[in-house]
Amino acid sequence: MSAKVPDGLKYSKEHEWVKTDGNVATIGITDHAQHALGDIVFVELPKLGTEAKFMKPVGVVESVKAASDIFSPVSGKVVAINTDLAKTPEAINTDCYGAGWMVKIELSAPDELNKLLDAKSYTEFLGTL
Amino acid sequence: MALGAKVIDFGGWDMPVDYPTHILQEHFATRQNAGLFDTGHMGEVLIEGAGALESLQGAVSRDLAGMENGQGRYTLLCNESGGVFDDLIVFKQNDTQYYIVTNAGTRLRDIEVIQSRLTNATLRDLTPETHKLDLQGPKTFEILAKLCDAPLSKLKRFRMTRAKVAGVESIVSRSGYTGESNGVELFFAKSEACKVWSALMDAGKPAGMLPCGLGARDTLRLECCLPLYGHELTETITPLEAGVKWAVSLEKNFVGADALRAQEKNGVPRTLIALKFAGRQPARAGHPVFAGHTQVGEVTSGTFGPSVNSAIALALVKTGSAPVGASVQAEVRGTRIDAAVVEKPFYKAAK
Repeated sequence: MSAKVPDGLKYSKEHEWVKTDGNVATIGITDHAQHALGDIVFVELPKLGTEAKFMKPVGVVESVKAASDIFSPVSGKVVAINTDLAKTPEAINTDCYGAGWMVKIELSAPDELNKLLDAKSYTEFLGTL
Repeated sequence: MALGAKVIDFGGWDMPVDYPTHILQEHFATRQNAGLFDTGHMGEVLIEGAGALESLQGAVSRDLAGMENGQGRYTLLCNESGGVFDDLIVFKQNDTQYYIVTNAGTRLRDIEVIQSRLTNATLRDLTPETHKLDLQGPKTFEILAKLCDAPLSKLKRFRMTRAKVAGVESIVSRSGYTGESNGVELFFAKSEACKVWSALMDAGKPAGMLPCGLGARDTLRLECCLPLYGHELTETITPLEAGVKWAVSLEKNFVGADALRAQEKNGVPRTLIALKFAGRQPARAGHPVFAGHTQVGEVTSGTFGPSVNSAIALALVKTGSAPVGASVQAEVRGTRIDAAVVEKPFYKAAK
């Protein structure tokens, strides 16, 4: 089974995806990550206004087995969080690029996006793991 | 595996070629239909000789007298201080042969310890030539009937018998680690492992059986409050503290008995309690447990319990600090989350 890696998104080596809309980035974890984690039972999201820092922990996703850090693939202020995940964390398993979105961040350093991988490079990266 | 407050970095994982199947699916399959577990890593040891019973009586905590051929009993292998080397099931095959099932990681030490406690008896490690598979869940016997002519459904709990499963000579015991009353452990020649596995997969699939991994094994056993060696039982936790006093015969003389009798007399200092959380956020082994402002102990095992739809945990706390009905908190990554101390087990399988 191969992981889904949609075009048009940027990816981090820590398996987060980023979708940008103007100056606001939506982030989540990739299909590869959700599958590796297994059934997600709990998500810890940052408070609104939190300053996210590039590749620093910004939340936690917890599966039946264990908890894992979510590393923010962008720097900036948290302007929205997906509160539906409190009730249905499994949305991350079933629709990680859609309903499973986690945090929206107002970019403070958009140039950092160049440090991320595009779909093709991320797919190649997955092949090396 | 779940290691308390430790948080695992995605990038640092070793990804298997095959993606793992999901724990929740496997868990529910076992509770509703059947689950097939490869437990070949566990140990099988045979004690033989005229001195087998007497030696084992001095070696393990439980009274093994009066068992029928084929009958087994759960027991602890203790150290001199009453701490635990391992939990075992000892089956009597006949008056001079006892078949012991051990945990995987502790097997070699168990062998050393048991060996040192034998007189007029020998120990043979059957593990290298033996494979074990666990088939657990309500449809166990329906599935086995396709592969075995013997009336296995008549086998009583904690009894073993010999039978041909998928044409392979096997020992079948009605036992397991899921809390399901219908379930067996199958022991057979390692060379036949693939054959028996495949036969069970073919026979079980139409019945809704799934192959299950260690993740589901943990959620299943924790829901039923079955102890896991290394968590609820260790060399510094006694069976009395871990709530398995029923597997200890204090009137008998065995290694550790004196220490346990003293502990019983002076008051068992710690108690294993069951915690049910309001939400789904799990606490993990090592997380501290608070009653009010005071830390009273720590979590020994914790996970999400699918059949009870909430996070659950076992915790070892100062005796009396958190009775059933009390509210406590587990500290998870700096935040305290509420839990109720409840009666064990969290889940009781239908008979």
